[in-house]
Amino acid sequence: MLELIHFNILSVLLFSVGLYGVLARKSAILIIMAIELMLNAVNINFIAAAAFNHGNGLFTNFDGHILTIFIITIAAAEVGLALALILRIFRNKATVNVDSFDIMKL
Amino acid sequence: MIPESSNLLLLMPEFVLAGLALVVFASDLIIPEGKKEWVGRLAVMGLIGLLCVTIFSVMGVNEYVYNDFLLVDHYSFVFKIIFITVGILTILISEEFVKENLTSQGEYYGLLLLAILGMNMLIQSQEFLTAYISLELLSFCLYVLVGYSKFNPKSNEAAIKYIIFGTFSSAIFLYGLSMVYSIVGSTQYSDISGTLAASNAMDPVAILGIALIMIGIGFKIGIVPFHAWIPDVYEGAPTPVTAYLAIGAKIAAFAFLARVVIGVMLPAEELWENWQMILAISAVATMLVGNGIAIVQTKVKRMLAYSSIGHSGVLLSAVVVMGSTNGIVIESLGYYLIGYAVTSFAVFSAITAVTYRNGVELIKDFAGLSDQKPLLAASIAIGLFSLAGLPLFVGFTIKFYLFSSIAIGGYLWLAGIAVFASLISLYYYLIMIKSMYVDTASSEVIHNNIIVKWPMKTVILVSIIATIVLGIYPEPLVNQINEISNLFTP
Amino acid sequence: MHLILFSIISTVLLVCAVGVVISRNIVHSALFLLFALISVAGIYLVLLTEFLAIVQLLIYGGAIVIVILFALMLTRNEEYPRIQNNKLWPIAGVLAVLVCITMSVSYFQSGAIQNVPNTIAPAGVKSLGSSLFTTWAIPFELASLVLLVALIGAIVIARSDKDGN
Repeated sequence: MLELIHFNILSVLLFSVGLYGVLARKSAILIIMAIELMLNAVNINFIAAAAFNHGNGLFTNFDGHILTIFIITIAAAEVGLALALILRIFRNKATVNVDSFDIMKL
Repeated sequence: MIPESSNLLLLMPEFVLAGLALVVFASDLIIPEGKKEWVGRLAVMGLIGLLCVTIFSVMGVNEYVYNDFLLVDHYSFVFKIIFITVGILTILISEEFVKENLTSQGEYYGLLLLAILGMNMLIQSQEFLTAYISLELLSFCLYVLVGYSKFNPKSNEAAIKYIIFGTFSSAIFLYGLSMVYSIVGSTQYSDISGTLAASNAMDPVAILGIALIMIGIGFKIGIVPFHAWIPDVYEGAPTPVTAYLAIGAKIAAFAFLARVVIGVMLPAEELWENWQMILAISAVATMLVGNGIAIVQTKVKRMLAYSSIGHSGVLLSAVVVMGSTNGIVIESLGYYLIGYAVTSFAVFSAITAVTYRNGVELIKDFAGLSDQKPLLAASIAIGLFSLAGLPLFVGFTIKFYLFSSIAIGGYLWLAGIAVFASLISLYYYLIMIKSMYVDTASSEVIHNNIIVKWPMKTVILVSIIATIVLGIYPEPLVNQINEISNLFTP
Repeated sequence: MHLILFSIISTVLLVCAVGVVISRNIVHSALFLLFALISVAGIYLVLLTEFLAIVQLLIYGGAIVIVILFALMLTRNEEYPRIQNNKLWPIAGVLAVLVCITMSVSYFQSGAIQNVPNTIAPAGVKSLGSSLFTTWAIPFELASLVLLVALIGAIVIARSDKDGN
């Protein structure tokens, strides 16, 4: 039988994988991809909580789903802006190496 | 479904501000190249109008709006006034800098206006999603503004670092929110605090969720150990944007943190007692790391960035003592933020004036400034003395109020460390002042070609006068802020 | 039945996610990301919210991954096939494992999570739409401004004008 905790654990695993990616990668594009994984973990958590708890206490109206819609919107905008910046850096440096601006880590 | 008790007229300032931003974007299409400063002046006039609108529409109001998502009260009123004023001053000091250094000049001012809108919504929200979206609105504007000097590799790098750290912290914040949501079932501050306070044995998921939310906010504020992005971003950003980050964004972040603490944490007393200790340790680390590393800096903007981290530590220690002595802490926190803003403008406006044409960065490049541009040197010196907390200036009064309220709150040792950190800060501020007043000018840096136009001169004079007057005669401001503290005194 | 479906999809999702963060070739990473995001849409279907599954496919699969691939194409270089990791990657791994264990334990310990009924409520488009445009109208308006800022910002930053026009 499917339970809420299955989704929670899936989301924790996905979040940790994303966290590892953010901390371990050097290239800005790869870091952004890892952050997308973390945001998807958040979304799974929200939707699972709202779907399983529906009608239970304060859980009404599928607020978790609505939050997910907002998070997807903001994430898309964020990726657009970040990639515009990466293109700008790429043009300015006249280099083919996005890695040359080492994002400092940890 | 549509809430009955939503007096949307209370959101008039925000509607007007959004409209103003769109008008400013549109005016950029009409105003010809070379006269783009008029876009900024239009924005300033609009903001002055907005001050009147804000005062007439929401002063003295204390009401929830729209499903209790927003709370329009005296707290948000005072901060709205601060944000709008900071916006006006920032636009005034930006004018020459933008004209000389940046492309796409018109959009710069529109983005600044939308950042103010984000701050306004941030501090009056009573619900985490609204707060998150407002925070993103503010952050998006800042990401673009930090990278606005787009042919400068430093600015590019600052922007990409800022956006990556910002998105990362948002992801952590949202994961915490999702954990809290899966226990509570709502994202409103009052529901969350109600659930946290009601359950005797705290749910571990809720505790971890709150922790992740606080880590996310900590990243945005830049407290130790989440401060790594601040020096690079402050250094790479165009100087007026650095000023805006250090003044406007910092005030907004702390006003938001205080709101979250009051709304979510204080009602759950057991939880808050644990958090007080964690935050106190972080505050000590922030003060010592910020002020300690600032000593060895050779670049002016980096030095100010670390000094601003140090000030975050002081502000955080005020947040720590919230609780029993709520009223007096909020009062001194608000007063500190205002005094800090005024003082920082004295420093940053003059530094913007110095750097807009010559692009100087090093502290030693400021040598001889007192001979060539006495007004700018005086402004920086007065601002730095005030930041260090010397008497006669507003910096002394605000620190006196804040430290005594920390001590009254039972954290005497924290107040002691804060005093010690101020002494360290005096040392590196004096290095800067010595460079301007004592050292002889090197031949390659000449400040004579700087022209201080009237908008800049106005800001400099206003902030110097305010620094001194508020230092000697603080009563009117204190009375105004008393009003806020009355809200939170039971 | 649901459990089997869930197990298959989540295995695919986790394998692809790990692929994103360990692949040495950035284009492979992007493709892994695409498959991971599509499997997330599958998870949404298991959670009976077909609207969000479609949104996920359109926005993540259709927009975000394509934009990332575009960025890769426009900044293409020879070094992409051999991306170095940060030197501190073992610490990052340990940290991620610690976070994972802490949070999993907290979920297993939580009474509130254990007591949830095992029924999934389907979220129809109608109820989502009506609450999005009534209860959540203010954040919705704000989100529109965020998109405006992102649009203007991306144009301002990426536009290649040297003389301001």
